[in-house]
Amino acid sequence: MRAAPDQRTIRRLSLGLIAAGLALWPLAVPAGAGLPPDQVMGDPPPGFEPDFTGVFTDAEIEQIIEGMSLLQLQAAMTGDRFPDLDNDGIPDVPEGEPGDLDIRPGDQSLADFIAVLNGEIVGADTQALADRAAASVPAGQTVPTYAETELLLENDSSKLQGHCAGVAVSYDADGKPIDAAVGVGSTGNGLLVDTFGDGAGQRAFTTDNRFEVRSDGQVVYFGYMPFGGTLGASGQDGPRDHVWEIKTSGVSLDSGGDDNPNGNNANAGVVDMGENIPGPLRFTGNADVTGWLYARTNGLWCAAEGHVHFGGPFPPVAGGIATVLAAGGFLGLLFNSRPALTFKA
Amino acid sequence: MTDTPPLDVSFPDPSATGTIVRHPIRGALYGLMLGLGGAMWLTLAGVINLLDIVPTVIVVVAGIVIGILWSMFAPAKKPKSAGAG
Repeated sequence: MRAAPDQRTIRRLSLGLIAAGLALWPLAVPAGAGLPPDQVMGDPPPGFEPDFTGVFTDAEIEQIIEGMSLLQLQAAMTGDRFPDLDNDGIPDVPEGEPGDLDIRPGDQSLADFIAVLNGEIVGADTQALADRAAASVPAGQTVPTYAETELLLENDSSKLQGHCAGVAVSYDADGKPIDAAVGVGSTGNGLLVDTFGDGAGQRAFTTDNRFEVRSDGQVVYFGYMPFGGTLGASGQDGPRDHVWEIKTSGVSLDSGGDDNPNGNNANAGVVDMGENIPGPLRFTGNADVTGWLYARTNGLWCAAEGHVHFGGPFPPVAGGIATVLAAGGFLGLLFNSRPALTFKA
Repeated sequence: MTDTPPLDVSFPDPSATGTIVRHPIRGALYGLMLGLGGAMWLTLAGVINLLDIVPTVIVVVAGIVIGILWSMFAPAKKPKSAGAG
């Protein structure tokens, strides 16, 4: 897929900011970083709720911007899985890499996905995948179920737990960065930290400091699992035979999975809302987002919870419908629903 | 001087009895419209989270209840012909 020129520009900038986020991980995770995956499992201690306001100094925030030139990190991230699409010497982040189990438009549904997750195999392809996964789960290993994974998300602020880390950068319709956050799972402190824009240096994805997304913009993400391995490498100990789901207010937004036979432990992509959401259907508002990923083979998991604000221009269709309904109802009540006094001779 | 047209004012028969007619169904429907529109506005304004069913239903039901109560207990309209204009 060849990107439009303006999108290529955005993606180059995104890689720089992602590299900046990566550069700040050691600041956010002073302990646990670099440990083997089997030594960094576990949740934060009960009641662990530190005040991370001002966790980054101004100088460190400046380092984010300077990080745009961290070409070594860019190269480490991209490798051979982020090709130079336009042959300009700069790797391009693809528009996401769908996994084998990702539910695409027109697919049957979430029911099949849940069946795979629960071991109730419904198709030949998933049967082979499940057999391979089941055979490789070590004896005695506790495998969290779908419900148990959800129980991890009991905090009403924000949280990133598990063997993962990631960076998200949000851009407006003109390609200007407006918000960014870095998070490390239980290998660190489980917190998501705001690294750019309003609220920089504070805890990110909370109700007081929502991750700002434009309904006509883009979000670039980079995820890494498990944290502590070789950055962006293939053939590593990444999540094999994994499944994932993203929900808002209990409603599933998207889900999928991949057998990941090469054990890739990093992925990046672009969520282009400006391209995927037609103008008349754009919206604004707040959303509570949860997501999880579980690798059936090696037990790696990651769960996150956060709060997002979708901003952008006034949505003409949704706003128009809301106005017509509210005004029509109000005027109807005022002039056409009041009790009426009549006289009978 | 110009001629002033006669004022078209009629009064109810003095022997007539007043009856209040209420429209609860109509009130519920307009209340539903008000509730749906209000819920959409609150969602767009960020007061209600996107796809959050419970508060949305609460706002819609509140609109219906307001509509029914208004249609039952609001000050009654007088017949148009009974007023001065």
